Amino acid sequence: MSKSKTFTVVLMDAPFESSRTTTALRVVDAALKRGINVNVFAYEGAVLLPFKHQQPHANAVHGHDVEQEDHPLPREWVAGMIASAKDAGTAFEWINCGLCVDERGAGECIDGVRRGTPADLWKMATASDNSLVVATA
Amino acid sequence: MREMMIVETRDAAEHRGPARSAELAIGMHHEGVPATIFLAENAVFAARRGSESPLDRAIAKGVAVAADSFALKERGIAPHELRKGVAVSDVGLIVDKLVRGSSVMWR
Repeated sequence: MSKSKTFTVVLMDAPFESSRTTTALRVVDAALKRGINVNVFAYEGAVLLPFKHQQPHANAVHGHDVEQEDHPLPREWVAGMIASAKDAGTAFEWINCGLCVDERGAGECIDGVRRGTPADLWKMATASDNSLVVATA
Repeated sequence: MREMMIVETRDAAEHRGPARSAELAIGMHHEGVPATIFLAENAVFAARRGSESPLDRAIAKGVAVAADSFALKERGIAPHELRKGVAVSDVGLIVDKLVRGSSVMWR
């Protein structure tokens, strides 16, 4: 592991509901692109961000088919960050709160995401240079 | 605490929270903790000139205020429409603050 900084980011918002998911993931992406190691602990609805069964859809109002609509999927954003971090040799860990996963039946996640507990969050935050909590509004 | 950043995401015309965030930033600045308000999402509406904004008092008291260029572009707000004292920046500024050990509060 390099001597670069490490951040822990806590996310809580579910996908497709709030702009803060996009903003928070932009912060994570910007940190990774600077070679900063990032841990994400997803609580509550945020455990569905890397849910692997998210599907794009058409938009009848705009007259767009699935391809034209090109609906963004958070699981693809997360997968993209996992892949780019791996290519860059930067550590990027995404842990979903196990209780929150069970409540929502959200166990089927993309590769690279693991299940954890608040104890993992405590360990990650303790070992990090700084932490950021993006709480639900 | 070395520095503080408040990431404000709410529209000041719809919520009272941004005014409280501005007061908190002013208070921290007054106590010797350099404070920055980073406007993201609908919070950037308060950065426009010609509207009432809790930012004016914060800027006058020395609080740094920056607006997310991504959010400005999404909402069709051009940099020349911003009130005096608001800088255009991006989420990289949040990363900078975290690297420097600042406390970053997301509202």
